[in-house]
Amino acid sequence: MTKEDGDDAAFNVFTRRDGTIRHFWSGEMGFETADPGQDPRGAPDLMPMWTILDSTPEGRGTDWYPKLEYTE
Amino acid sequence: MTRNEALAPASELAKKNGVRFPNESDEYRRARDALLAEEIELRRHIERGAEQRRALPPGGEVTKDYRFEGENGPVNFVDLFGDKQTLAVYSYMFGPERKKPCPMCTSLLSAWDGEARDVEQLSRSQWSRGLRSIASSHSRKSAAGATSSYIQISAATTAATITP
Repeated sequence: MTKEDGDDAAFNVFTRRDGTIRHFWSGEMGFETADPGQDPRGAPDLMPMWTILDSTPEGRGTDWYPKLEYTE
Repeated sequence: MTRNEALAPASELAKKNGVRFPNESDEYRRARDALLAEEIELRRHIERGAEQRRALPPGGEVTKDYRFEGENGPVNFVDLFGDKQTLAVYSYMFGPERKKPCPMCTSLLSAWDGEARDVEQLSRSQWSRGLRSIASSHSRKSAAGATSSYIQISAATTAATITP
């Protein structure tokens, strides 16, 4: 969570060894590490749908976004 | 790395692949084999990265006493581990300032939800949400699905980024 009580998506891995909890790894690829013209993204990507779309000639597309609901 | 020295060059390995599809042209097969070599190198790159990640030195100790509202009442951070040594936590963008959760996070969690129990054979996985009760969630049923434990951060916890 951010200081302003907002929230950011994050993936964090922690370990517990001999009673001690430690941070192990988090994704760190954000705006500073993005390539020109790209939205921040990590690698390997956490979301399977990018792998699926990468196997198509059209690729990932640029003018769409997931929806919370889809009407049939 | 020594392991790479023992591996066949990707282009050589690609040539051994006997897959052919009906009516494919020679031009297609040449391009497909070149791509296959690239894919083999991508596989090796991913695995080298995973090996390097596993070899990281111990990370910073977590000393903050985080508390969460679980499905069955309050839990401490250590409780999230269950009987496992490793915990993977995804923080879901669905804090109190949002009427609805982030659609990209919802998409990710919908996919991860299907495999969460399989992952949990090795690590404990917690797809944690922001400050919003599960009952009032607007997210898709699959994201609120039954196979993962969802933890909401209670208002009493310190609103601080978990940093090493």
